[in-house]
Amino acid sequence: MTTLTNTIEERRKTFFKRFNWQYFLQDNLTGSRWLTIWVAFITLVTVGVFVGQLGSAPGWTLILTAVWAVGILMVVAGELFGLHTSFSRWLKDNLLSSISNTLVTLLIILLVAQVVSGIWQWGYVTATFDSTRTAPDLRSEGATWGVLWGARKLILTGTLAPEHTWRVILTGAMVFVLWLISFIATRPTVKTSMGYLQRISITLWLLAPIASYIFLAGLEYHEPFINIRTLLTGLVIVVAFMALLWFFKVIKLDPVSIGLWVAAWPIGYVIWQLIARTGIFPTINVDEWGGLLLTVIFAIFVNILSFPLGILLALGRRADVQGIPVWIVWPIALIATVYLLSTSTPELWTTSRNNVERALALWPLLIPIAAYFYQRSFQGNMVQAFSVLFIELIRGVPLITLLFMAIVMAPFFTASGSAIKNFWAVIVGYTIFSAAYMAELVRGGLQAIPKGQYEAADSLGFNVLQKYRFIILPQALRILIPPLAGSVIGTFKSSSLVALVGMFDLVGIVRGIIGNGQWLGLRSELYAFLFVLYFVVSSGVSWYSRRLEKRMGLGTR
Amino acid sequence: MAMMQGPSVSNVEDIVVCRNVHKWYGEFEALKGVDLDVKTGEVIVILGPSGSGKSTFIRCLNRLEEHQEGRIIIDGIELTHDLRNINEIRREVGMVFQQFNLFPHLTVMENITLAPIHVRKWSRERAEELAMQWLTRVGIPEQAEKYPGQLSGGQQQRVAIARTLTMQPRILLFDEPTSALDPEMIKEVLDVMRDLARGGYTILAVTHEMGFAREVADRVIFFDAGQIVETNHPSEFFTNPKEERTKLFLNQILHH
Amino acid sequence: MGQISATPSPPTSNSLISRIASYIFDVRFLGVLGQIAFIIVLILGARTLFSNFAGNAAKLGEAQFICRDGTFSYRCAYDFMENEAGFDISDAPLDYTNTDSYWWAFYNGVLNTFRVGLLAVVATTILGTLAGIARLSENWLVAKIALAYVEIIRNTPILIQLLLIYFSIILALPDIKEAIQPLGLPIFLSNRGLNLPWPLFMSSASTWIAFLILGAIQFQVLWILLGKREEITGHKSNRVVWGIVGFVLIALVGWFVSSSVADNEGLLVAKGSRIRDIGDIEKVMLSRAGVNHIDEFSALSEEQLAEVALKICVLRDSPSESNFTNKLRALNIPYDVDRAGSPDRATADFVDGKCEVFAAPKSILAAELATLENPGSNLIVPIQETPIVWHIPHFEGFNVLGGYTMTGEFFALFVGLTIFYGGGLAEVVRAGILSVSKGQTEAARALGLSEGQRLQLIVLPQALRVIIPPLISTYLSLMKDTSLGLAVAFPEMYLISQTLLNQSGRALQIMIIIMLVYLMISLTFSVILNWYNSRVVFVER
Repeated sequence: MTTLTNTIEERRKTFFKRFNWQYFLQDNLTGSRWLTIWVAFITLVTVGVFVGQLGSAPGWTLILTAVWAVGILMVVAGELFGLHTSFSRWLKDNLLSSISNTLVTLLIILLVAQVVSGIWQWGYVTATFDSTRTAPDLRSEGATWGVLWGARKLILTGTLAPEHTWRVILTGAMVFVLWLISFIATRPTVKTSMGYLQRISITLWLLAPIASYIFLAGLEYHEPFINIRTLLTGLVIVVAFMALLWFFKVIKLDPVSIGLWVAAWPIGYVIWQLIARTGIFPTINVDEWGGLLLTVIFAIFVNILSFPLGILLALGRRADVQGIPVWIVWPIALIATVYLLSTSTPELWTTSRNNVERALALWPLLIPIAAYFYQRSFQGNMVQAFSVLFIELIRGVPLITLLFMAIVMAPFFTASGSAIKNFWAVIVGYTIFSAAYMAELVRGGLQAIPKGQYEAADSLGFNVLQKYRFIILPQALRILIPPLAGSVIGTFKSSSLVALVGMFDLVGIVRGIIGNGQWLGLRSELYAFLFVLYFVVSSGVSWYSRRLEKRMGLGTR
Repeated sequence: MAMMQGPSVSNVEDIVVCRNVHKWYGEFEALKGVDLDVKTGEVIVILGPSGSGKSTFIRCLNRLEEHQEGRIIIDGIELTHDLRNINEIRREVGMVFQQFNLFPHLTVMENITLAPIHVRKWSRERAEELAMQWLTRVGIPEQAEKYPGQLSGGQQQRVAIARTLTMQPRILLFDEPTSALDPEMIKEVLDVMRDLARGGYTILAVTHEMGFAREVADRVIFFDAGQIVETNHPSEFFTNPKEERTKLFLNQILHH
Repeated sequence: MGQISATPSPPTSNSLISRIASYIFDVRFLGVLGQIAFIIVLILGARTLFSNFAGNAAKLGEAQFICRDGTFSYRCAYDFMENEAGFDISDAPLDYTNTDSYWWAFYNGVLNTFRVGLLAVVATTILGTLAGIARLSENWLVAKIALAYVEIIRNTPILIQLLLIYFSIILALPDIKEAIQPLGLPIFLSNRGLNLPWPLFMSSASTWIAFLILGAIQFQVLWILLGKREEITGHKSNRVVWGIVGFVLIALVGWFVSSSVADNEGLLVAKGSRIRDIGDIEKVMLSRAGVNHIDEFSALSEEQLAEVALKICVLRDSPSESNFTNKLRALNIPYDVDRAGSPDRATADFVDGKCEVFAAPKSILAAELATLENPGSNLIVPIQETPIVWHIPHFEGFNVLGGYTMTGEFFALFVGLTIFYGGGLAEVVRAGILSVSKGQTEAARALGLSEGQRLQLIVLPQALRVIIPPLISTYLSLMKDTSLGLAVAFPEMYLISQTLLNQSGRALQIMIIIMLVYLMISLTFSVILNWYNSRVVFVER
């Protein structure tokens, strides 16, 4: 016992030999004016918060403060007697490294405790979980979580008729099975022993959108069973597409693949008609989709559609095709200007009612200005000009205006008499928006590819399509995995905005539920639920993408 | 290393003919009228200070850069804006870059066979067989299934040479092939180049390797300020240069 | 070199067909051909859309292009904007009533967009910088909290954040009657929003600002002089402190000078009221209430107080009101305010006896006095003013008046945008700080630069180069997302245009205007960004 006290006494003495009050004060208090002010300020705030919370919740405040004090004691003891444990050392380095840090730690502990206890009180202690007790007069002081169970059908599938629910479940099950297959197929052991499995899983994934469409939107049967015209039209399209790819030397022609491609369409057509005739999947009005189902459909649909469109726009923006030369552009622009000035302007001028309209009557003068900028910025390259204008115009306006425009303006621009469903209008508007952003991401990826890669491809004699197909795009897309994952999450999150143009996605349906008598005004519960749901899905996707990136990275280098 | 089988000898005497080739970058004139004839099987080393236009010149020969005036005729085909001619000439002319420019997402084998399969339309087997031959000849057959990132600089450059040669070009352009290499790796690449030079290929090489020039070049060309200043036999060139500008240049690099 | 052989014979045969072929396969020709094909496709597409539009417009939307005389013309597309709006705007920045035109309503919406957007830009910058620095804090808790903030905000939709902030936080705040007053300050936080004290400039403020400019010049001169002295004598002096002391001194002197010199504010009173200066008001009030000391007013009942309260007339939203009522409150004198829209109205109220005192700038009072029937029986009493008066929110009945009012909707949108984009900006700031390599810091230390100099000269310029481009795009996105005001019923441009559209049915016209305004905003930001980028590139050379 005496030896122990002796050693402690010794350590204490060596500590005080090392320790210098002057330095301690200088480091923590008087080092600079700002430090002093900062410490004084943080002391004031901490004391204020402490006193305030002591009044409202004395028990917890004292306990937390005591824990904090114990932490300080451990650090001081560690310093004084050299009794540092790894825990106390961690405390010292991370939470209690200086006077101001120590105070900040207490402040944050108290504030977090207050917020957490507030949420806890509301969400659990005083909350009811009974789905039958959600009416306004039966609610308790806290949250009424019963609404989540009570309105589960609306939240999940919106206004979709209950007899179709099994089709949604079927789609979900299909996706799960596909994911399972590809998960197994990418295991290292399986990858080597059963390489074909990966091919199968990719094929199945490519077919999945069609299957999902059949499940969720249904098929309408058209007489006769085999319509020769449809069959031939499809065949011609397939052959033309193949011929195009062959012409640009992207694919090679060999009998087996020709046979497969040509046979694919008739077989698919027959299967399609067969399923349609059984009537297992009667058509569903797409505007009936709602809730989580609609949100997920939007996210997936828009991401799949905007991806190729975005790549096209990005390539268009970078296209260095020979532009239309100056000696063609200027004469045409000048002739058009003179012609329109002599035909359109006089009439507009004479009928104008005010100076604004008089100025507008001179609109043909804009043509030379446009021609000047067209030549100066794009060297007559129309593909580039179109892509740039399209991308920048779309990115310049908020998504919600585009969505609204799609819904409101669609009837103006479709062939007269054809009504367009809100769902499709929103898909179009959203896809255009998403593609413009995707295009900028892809452009970033393309810019990251060194110039030498393009030159090497050129010098080996690849044509433009081959160059992008085999060399540039594979590299660019690999670089793009993290930003693309970000974009997928972004699309998923922003899909909540469709609620503002009257779609019944998660947010839209929740707004409907809140207006419903039985669940009237249960906003906080439902919005909090959505908040958590979006958070879990988004962080899940970003976590998965990071994993994917790591794995792909390991495979190649 | 085995002597390499050169391409079949063409009956056109001058395989590369350049007449008064000009090239501008905006206001800056990079090539100020270059005239050059290269015979089949000739090995030419191009020297010159940096910025003298020597790289630009050989990049014009396979249309990585576009010349604006004058004529370039390769193996009887004039390099014009005609798409067919450009494609034809790119098949005849192979290029090896300073930075190797291997495709990092493909294995060595895929790097080499991609162009033969898709541009030359060979079967995969034929392409891989030839690729393997060339890999063996440049001394790294065992690296076929690796990715470029796993190879050393010298190995990468040898893969790039094999990739170029598998396309069976008649003319080889080297754009400073050893400048990006560590000193100990330069030799392995130069050995391959030397072997190719003796194997009957027509070669135009921009390089600072004087030893290589002395040993295998049929002619040495000295470029300065976008013009050919001197053309000479290597022994003459290094010992007894005709032009003052050349002497100055040689002084600077040899006594450094 | 050796002999140049004769010009080689052209490689391809010279037949007509091959020459034509070589033109056709010319890359330039093919390029132009492709361009023209692309243009034709574009024109065809545009034509289909336009013919559809023309057909549909004639059928569905003829009413959209009707002129005042009842004819149909596209030039009348925007005529409806001059019609009476007929709806109210809860939070109009300018003077707006529902009898104003659609244009005026829309303009108010645009101003609201800028008001909330620009304020949020400033707040986002502050929050984002703080959070970005907190991410790198050596305090584990601070860093983790900042990380949690960033992760949570970035992984949830801004729309749901806004809805939560508005419905679950702001609308859950206490009623205005029990408004939260932090630390007893005149700041009122309630479910109707936030009321803040706000400085108003009196007319004497110009004099004071002149003093401030003088102070700034003094600072600069002192800086240079002391710097020179430092160079010559090597005698170190604290230039910043002396400069600030001088500045504060001049500002204080200026404050008193401009307060005492200023003689712009006045009260219009009847001669019979016995008020000759502001001190007399207290005596008048005491005798009227029949008490001896002003403190005894607190003993009076509500009715009695209302009875004796001094009735004053002011112009609506005038600094004179705050200047005068602040003084009355300091004296504990109860008063009743009658806010008139114009000097005429106020004068009429004064003549009618609705108020005893009319407070306004002297020039207005003099003009009004001249219009009275018997100017001689009234007089103008000067009152003191300071360059700046605080417009202080206070209870008047069941409402809080005065100060700067942020409605709950504005507050929700402002806070929502700030929190969301602050999270994004935190990552930008963090990346910027991390981008300055450690070597730079060490090099700066080695040069013997002080900590402040190191930040100012080495770290900031380099970090800003990384930070500013994404910062500007963050601002742009923020400005666009003000359109989410729709979700919390804040009347910014998008919400107003929706109302306009519902009332007028002119979808196309309204979509075009709002798109144009948003594009103008985007264009402005991209011009700034391009200018910055080109400047940075230039500096790098």
